[in-house]
Amino acid sequence: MLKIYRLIYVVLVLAVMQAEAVAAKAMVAVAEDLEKDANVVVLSEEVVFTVNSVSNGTMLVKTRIKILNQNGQHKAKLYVPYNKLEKVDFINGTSYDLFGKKIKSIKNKDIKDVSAVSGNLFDDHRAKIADLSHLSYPYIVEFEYQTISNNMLFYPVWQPLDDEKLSVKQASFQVKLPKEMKLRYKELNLKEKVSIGATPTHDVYTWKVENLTPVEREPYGPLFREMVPVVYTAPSAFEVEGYKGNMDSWASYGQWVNKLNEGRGVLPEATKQKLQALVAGITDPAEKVKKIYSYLQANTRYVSIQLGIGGWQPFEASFVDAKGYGDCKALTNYTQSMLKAVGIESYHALVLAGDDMPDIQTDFPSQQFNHVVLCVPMQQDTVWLECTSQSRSAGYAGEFTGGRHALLITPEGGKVVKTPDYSALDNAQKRTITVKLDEKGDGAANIVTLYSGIQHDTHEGVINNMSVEEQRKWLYKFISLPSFDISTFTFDLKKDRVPTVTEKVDLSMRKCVNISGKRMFLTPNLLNKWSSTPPAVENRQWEVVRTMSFLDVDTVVYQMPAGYSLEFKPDDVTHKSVFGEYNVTIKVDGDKVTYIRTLQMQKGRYGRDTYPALIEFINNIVKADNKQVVFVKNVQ
Amino acid sequence: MKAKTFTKVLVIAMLFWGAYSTALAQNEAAKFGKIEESELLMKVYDQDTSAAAVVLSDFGYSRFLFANNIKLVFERHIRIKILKKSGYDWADVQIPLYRNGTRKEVASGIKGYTYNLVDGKIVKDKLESKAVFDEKMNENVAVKKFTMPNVKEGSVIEYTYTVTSDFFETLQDWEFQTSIPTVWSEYRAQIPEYFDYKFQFMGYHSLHDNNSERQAAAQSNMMNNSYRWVMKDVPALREERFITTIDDYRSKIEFELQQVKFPGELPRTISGSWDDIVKDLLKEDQFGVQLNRNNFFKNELAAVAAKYSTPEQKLEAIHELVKKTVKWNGKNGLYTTSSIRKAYDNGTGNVADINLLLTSMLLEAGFDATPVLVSTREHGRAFKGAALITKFNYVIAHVNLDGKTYLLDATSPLLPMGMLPYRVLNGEGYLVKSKETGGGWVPLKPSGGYATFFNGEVTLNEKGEMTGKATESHSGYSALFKREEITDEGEAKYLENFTKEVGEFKIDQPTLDNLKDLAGILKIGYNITASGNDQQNSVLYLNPMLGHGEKENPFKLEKRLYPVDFGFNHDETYMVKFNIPAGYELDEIPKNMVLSLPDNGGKFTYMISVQGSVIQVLSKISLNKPVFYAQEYPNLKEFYNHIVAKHAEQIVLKAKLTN
Repeated sequence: MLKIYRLIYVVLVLAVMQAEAVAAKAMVAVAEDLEKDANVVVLSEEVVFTVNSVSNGTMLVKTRIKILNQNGQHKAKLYVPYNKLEKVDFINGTSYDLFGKKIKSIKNKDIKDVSAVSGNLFDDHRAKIADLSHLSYPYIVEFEYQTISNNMLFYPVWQPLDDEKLSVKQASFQVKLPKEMKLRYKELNLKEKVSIGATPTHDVYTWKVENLTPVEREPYGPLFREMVPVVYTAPSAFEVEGYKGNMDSWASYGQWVNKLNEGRGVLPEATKQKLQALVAGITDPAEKVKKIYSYLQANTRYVSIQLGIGGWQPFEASFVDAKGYGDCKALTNYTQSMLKAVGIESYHALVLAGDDMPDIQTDFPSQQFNHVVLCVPMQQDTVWLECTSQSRSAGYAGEFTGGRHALLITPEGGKVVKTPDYSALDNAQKRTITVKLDEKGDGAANIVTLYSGIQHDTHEGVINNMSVEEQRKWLYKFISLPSFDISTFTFDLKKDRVPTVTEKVDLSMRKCVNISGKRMFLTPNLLNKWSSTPPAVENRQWEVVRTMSFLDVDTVVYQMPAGYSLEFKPDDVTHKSVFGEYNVTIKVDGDKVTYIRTLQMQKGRYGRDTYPALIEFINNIVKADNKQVVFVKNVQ
Repeated sequence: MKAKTFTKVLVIAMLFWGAYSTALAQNEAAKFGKIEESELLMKVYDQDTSAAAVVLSDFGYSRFLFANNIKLVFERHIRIKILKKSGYDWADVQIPLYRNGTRKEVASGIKGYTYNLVDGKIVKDKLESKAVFDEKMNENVAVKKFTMPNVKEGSVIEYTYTVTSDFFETLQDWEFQTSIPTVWSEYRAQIPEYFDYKFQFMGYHSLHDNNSERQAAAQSNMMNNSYRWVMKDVPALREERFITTIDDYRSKIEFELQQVKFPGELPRTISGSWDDIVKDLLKEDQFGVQLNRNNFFKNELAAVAAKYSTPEQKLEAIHELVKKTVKWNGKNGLYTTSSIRKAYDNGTGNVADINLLLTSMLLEAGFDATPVLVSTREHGRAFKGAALITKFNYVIAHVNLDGKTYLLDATSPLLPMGMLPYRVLNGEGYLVKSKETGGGWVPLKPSGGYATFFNGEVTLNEKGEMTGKATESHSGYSALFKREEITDEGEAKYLENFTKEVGEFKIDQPTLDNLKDLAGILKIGYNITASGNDQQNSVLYLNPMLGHGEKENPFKLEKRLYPVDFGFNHDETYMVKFNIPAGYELDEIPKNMVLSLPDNGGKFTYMISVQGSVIQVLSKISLNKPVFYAQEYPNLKEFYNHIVAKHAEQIVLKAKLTN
């Protein structure tokens, strides 16, 4: 018995010793790891957010950063945004060389003051810039700054790894708030959870991270923010410019938005009558919505003027009616008022718009949005209206606002709903080509392509924003053929819930097939060849993410020149994988070659071990797309 | 019957013509507030039916005010027809205003209207003054921003404003041409006899009207020179590929103050002849003074002198020294930020800091070195006609060594000595010396062009599988661009991404040679394998370009208005040796081809030779000049058509009959 204990004891001691050795090694390794593959090491960062009251807070930030090379230079430039409600209290900064010798200190006159949004027509968002860039590496910069905010709609989102090729030695985030107030937070990808302490007057929440090595994005990987530690914080009770609210639930946040919008939907009587006359005789509410929406599109335009209540209160409907312009809130509010004038109820819907944006954290009610659209509930279906666009189809959300969660602002308050999502069949590209070839290998092609859903977006832009001359130039760039001349082209845009564009192009091609001596080589996939595969990644870390479903169908019929017979034809192929399905059939019937290619891929998230399968699937497509049919001249 | 129809058509045509002519056949600038119904009825602009908006009238007037200070007053009135929604951006207006210390520009008298036709009646909406915003962009620039109310398809907008400026030496330039068509563009300037301005016209469109007169100013014995320049029916300016900057092709007029002569004072030359510019520059604190004897780098120069014997080695060593010591901050400029000494101590500076430091060091080391004024490609062409210092934004160094000239730039660490960065390859620069001592224009010729050389050897088997090795060599600009790309991405990452499988081909085990030795040829070597079809084939098809051929003609458009400006010559050579499997013979082989552009502008050579079981393929594309004029475009396009077709051709091998 004793023997066994001893044995266990020995084993334990050994294990402990080994563990210590590993830990010691790890410490050294960490120091090296932090600089490996990094441009910047955050040596220390302390962020302290002190809530002074429901309407006021102070943020103090201290950072010490090591800039390793030129690509990390941007981190030596501190960028502190401010606006009417958020002021910069002070900024200090000093840079040092590696021996601790001071290089430079920021003086007040060195701090630049610039407009933060150049594209906007007008808003009060500005930024202070303190630049400690130095050109001999490595060097260290220290910044300390404080901002004071009267906009408590936003509490900080803490993301210590805020860049690729950046590592963090240690960083902490602290929120101090008066005892009578409540902090709401959400932690993501965090090793160490919050620790909660208190002072006599305040509760203190602290998060810490250390030794975070650079996180590298991978092809077909998730968004950067999904891969790194993040702490979201938000208030319970808050107040902005006298507007009191509560964010405990989406419902209560929606109530606050309702308060901002209150009384801003009044239209002049004359406009109301005009609108009622416009829809007179129409019984179908969906038709009425279309009528009002096209009235909006014909009579207003989007102008970004972001002022007031942190940029969240719309202009009054009567203002937009008089001036014919407004930002997203103002135009949405205006459209809502117009629909109301013809007896149709609709709701503002807050979204986080953009085609490369993460979805909102639905379980964490807070201000996560950057855009507003209008949602019109209908008996059959719901219609979504993008009120800032003069050309968008009524009811089509596209990649900008589709396929995500939105906060519907109903009279009862906020409600999370989903915006329309688009399937592979919605996002289609269906193309039929007939090609007539002559004995020189030149050919005339008649191409008809139907683009729908997200695959129609580019064309919608081309149709609405380009002159005919520019469209022609764009087609030359867009069509990938060795050498060709476009004779005619037309676009036909059909607005719908899933809008479509029919594109017809007639063109003549030089050397569509290659004739070498007695042979003729035809690559039957004329316009939809895939030519690159994603790079191989050793030790794939993250899951595979595909963000769009689509269906491509290509049918190409060739009329070959007379006097040739078939020498070689690639086999028909089918490739199936979790990502989708690819099919090619080639039929040769006398001098007629019929090529049919179908590729359907699904959006979704797949395990990280599926990545090699994705490469293989795509490479199989590349191989098949480039296969050729060979004909040989008949002996006379 | 037929005749009747004809008359009807004619009447309709005339009706349209009438409407058209009142709207557009104008002979003077529009008057503010006097809108014609025809302007609102206009649905398309006949001369360019694709236009999203048209400038109906653009009028500018500059004059001088003599009060306590001299002020320059610029009035503008523009009227724009909005035809399509994509033209709405023209209703968002920004007026930038410059300020430097106490001298500034002030905008006033902003007035504007939007006109719409509602139920046949002209309705106008006023731009309200509270809709005009001020935004401070930075210390020196503030912007007045406004947007016109109630803009719809078919609206006509007009606005007017006045800018009063303390910068009287900067007479406002005038652009007759913009990205939409312009029906009428008129600029007037009333210039007191005290100021002597030089005018510079640019662009492809000619003046419709141009006159000047001299008259006495009111209540003064000063004479004024009044000028008027008009352009009519100016087409929209459109971007194209391979150009310096679109601004080089815009119709515009620019001004430079040459001399100021007030009564009872001696004339003050602001700028005049090239010699005057040179003289002024050499006296300038932040230019010529920087070149005067400097001692602070004495030790470094002594070290160079001790280490190297030939002047050429010394030249290279000094260039290297400047590149290493002072890093470019990305800013262009003719003048040093403060002094070259400071740049040297800080280890950072703008173009002038670096290249004047270089010039100064070279002078100190006994070289015949001179600064050269340059206008970068983005900044536009430097015209030889007028001596205008504002036409330049960059400076490099010129060295004359035993009759051989070198152009040096030390702003990019990857540039070898004697090579100019791409941004500088723009026509000619001006050598900052008096004419007597050899000042004048020097061509900014690239030393060497863009050259690539692909060399491979591949063995083919009967299943269609290939294995082999290849080396891609880059020299001249190709090497520079490749080195920049690799340095940006990081050597390890670049090589990792290089390894890949695309279709049948697989590339792996890449190696890199001479990344750091800038004078050396950059070489990337790798293995190539290609998968076959796993079976014995009686016929094997082989594309001899191995995916390196020209797949698409880079010149797709039918027409070209501007020159094709590459900046440098091209030389792309491809050579591969194929070893074919035993038991196979050649069945088909592409024909050899030699194709030349007129006047030795370019040459394409394609040759295949066969020796036993070895097939040798050579393709070589040379473009022997950096710029091809618009008239040469069809040739260039056709040249590439032939290359693309040739590169698609294939070799066919056949199994020998065994019996």
